[in-house]
Amino acid sequence: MKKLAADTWAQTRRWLVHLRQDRMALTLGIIQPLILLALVGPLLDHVVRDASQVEELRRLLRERFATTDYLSFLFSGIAVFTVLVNSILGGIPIVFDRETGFMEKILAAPVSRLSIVLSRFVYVVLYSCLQLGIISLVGALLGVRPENPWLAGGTLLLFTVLLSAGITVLSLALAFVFPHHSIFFAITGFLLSPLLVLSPTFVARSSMPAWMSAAATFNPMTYAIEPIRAAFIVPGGGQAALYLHCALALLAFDIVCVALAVRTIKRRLA
Amino acid sequence: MSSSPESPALSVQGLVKEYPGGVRAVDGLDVLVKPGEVFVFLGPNGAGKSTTIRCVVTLAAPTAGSIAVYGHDVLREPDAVRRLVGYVPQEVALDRYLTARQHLELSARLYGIPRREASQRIESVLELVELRDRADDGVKGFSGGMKKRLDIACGLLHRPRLLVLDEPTVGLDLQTRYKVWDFVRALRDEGVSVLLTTHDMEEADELADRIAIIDHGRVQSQGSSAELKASYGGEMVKVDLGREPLEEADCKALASLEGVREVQRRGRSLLFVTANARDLAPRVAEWFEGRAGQPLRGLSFGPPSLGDVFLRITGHEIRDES
Ligand SMILES: Nc1ncnc2c1ncn2[C@@H]1O[C@H](COP(=O)(O)OP(=O)(O)OP(=O)(O)O)[C@@H](O)[C@H]1O
Ligand SMILES: [Mg+2]
Repeated sequence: MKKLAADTWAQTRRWLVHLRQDRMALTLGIIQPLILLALVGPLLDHVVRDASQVEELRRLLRERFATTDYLSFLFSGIAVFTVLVNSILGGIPIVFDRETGFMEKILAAPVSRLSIVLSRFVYVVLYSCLQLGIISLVGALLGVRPENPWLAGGTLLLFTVLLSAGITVLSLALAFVFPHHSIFFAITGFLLSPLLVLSPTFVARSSMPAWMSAAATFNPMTYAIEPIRAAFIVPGGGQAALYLHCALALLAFDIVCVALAVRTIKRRLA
Repeated sequence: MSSSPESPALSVQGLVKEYPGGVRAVDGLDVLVKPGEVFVFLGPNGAGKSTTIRCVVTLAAPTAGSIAVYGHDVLREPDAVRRLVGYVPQEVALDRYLTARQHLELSARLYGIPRREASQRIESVLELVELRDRADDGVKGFSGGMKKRLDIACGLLHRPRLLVLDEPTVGLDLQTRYKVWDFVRALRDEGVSVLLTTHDMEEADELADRIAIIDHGRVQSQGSSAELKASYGGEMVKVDLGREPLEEADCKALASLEGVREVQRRGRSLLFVTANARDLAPRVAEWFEGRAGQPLRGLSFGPPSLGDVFLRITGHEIRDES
C-alpha cells in the first residue's frame, strides 16, 4: 500500500512536470472552458432573457430550466464537460510512452502496475481542480453565485471526480490497446461532440426531443451535470434523491469501466 | 527460491518466444551467465537478441522455457528480478519534458531508493557519464551521445547486479564508445554481471569474457573470443585486390595452391583459409607477382578474426567454397 502510494506519487510528479513545461497546453486548457462559458453563456443568456419577458415563457423556463439565469444554468454543463475532456484525453501520455519506449523502462522497474493507471487519474483530478477553480472564479465574476457555495463546491468536486474515474480508466485502456496516437486522437475526438450535445449541457433534458433525451439517459455526463446544476441553481439544493440516484449511477458506471479496463490492461501488461 | 552464492547471474533454458502471428523469434535458446562476467550476444539482424533480452527483463513472457536471474524466476518473482536487473533498451527512451536530473530522480523513486541516498547516487552516476554540468537541462537539447549516456545512467542508478545493455554503442562517436566500454569494465570490476548485444566485432572482442553467437533464435556457438577463433580450425591470409573480384578461372587457380583449404570473396578482398598462414602468404604473393596487371594493394595473415568466425557460423555472406 505504501509502495503503491509512493509509485503513484513518483509518476504523478512526472505528469506535473509535463504540465509546467508545456505552457501552451496549460494556457489553452484553461482558456478553452472560459471561452465556452464567456461566448455561449451571453449568447443564449440573451435569448433566454428576451423570452422571459413573456409571462408564459418565463413560467415554462422556470419549470424546465429551474432558472431564468442561463449563465448559471450553463455553468455546471461547462464544468463537467471540461473534466470530461481532461479525462477522455487522460490516456494520451501513455500512448506516447508506448511509442517512445519509455513505458518499457517503467515496466522494467519494480513498479506497481496499478500505479501507472492511478497516477494518470490523480493527475487528471489535480488538473481538473485547477481548471474548475479558475472557471468558478470567472463564473462568480459573471454572476454565477450559488445560494450555498459549500454545497455547490462539494457537489461539483464529488460528481466530477466520480465521472472522471470511469472515463479516465477507459481512456487508459484505449491507450494500451491502440498502438499509435493518430488512432487514439481519432477515436476520442469522434466521441467528444456527441457526448457534449447528447447531454443536458445546453438544454435541460425535459426540453429535448424525446430521442435525444433518451440518448442523454445513457450519457454519464448527465449524472454529473444534473446534481451539480441542482446544487448551483435550485433554491435549497433540491431533492436528496437526485444526488443519491446520480451518485449510484456514476458509481455503477465506474465499476463497469474499471472491470473492462482491468481486463484489457492486464492482458497488455502480462 | 532464494539467491545463493552459486546461482548463475542469468540462466536461460530452452527459451522459446513466439509472437502473435506465428513468428518464432527465439527457438530453444540456452545461455548461462556467470556472476561478474561480461557476456555478449553477437548475431545478425532479426536473430532474436532483443527478444531474448525482453524476456530476461520481464517485458515479455516466454512462450516456453525458463529464465532465472540470480536464482529468481522471471515469471514467479518478477519484482525480485526487476530489482536485480538494470535495463538499457536498444532505442534511447527518454522523456523530452524532463531534465537529466529529473529522469534520475524518477528512476530512484521507482526503484525505491531512499531520498538521501538517492541524491548522492545521482551525483555519482552523473559524474560517471559526464553529464554533471548538464544535469538540470532538458533532454530535448541533448545530442544522441548525451541521451545514450543518460539512458545508461538510469539503468545503473539502483546498482543492478545484472546490467543488460541492448546495443549500447550504436550511433555513438568513437570517444563516447570507448567511454561506454570503460563503464562496462569498471562495473565488471565491481562485480556486476553484464549482458550486452552488439553487431560490432571489436566491441565483442574488447569486452566479452564469453560470447554467444546467436542466429535463428538459437545459440549457434559460444565461448571466449579466443576459443571461438580456435574453433575455426585454421588461419587466414587476406589479400586486398583494390578492385573488382577476380575471374572465376583465377579463383580456381588460387584455390588449388598448395595448403589452401578454402577461398572466400569478401568485397574487394580475398580470404584464404589454411592450416599455416605464414607458409601460404609468400606463395599467394608470388602467384600475384606472376600476373601482369594485377598488383596487390595489400596482404596480411594471421589467426581468424571474430568476424571470420561470425560469418562462417551465420553464413550471411556469399561464399565460394573450393
Ligand atoms: N513485437 C513483435 N511482433 C512480432 N514480431 C517481432 C516483434 N519483435 C520482433 N519480432 C520479430 O522477431 C525476430 C527477432 O527480432 P529481434 O528484435 O529479437 O532481433 P535482434 O536480434 O534484436 O535484431 P537486431 O540486431 O536487428 O536488433 C524478427 O524476425 C522480428 O521481426
Ligand atoms: Mg535488437
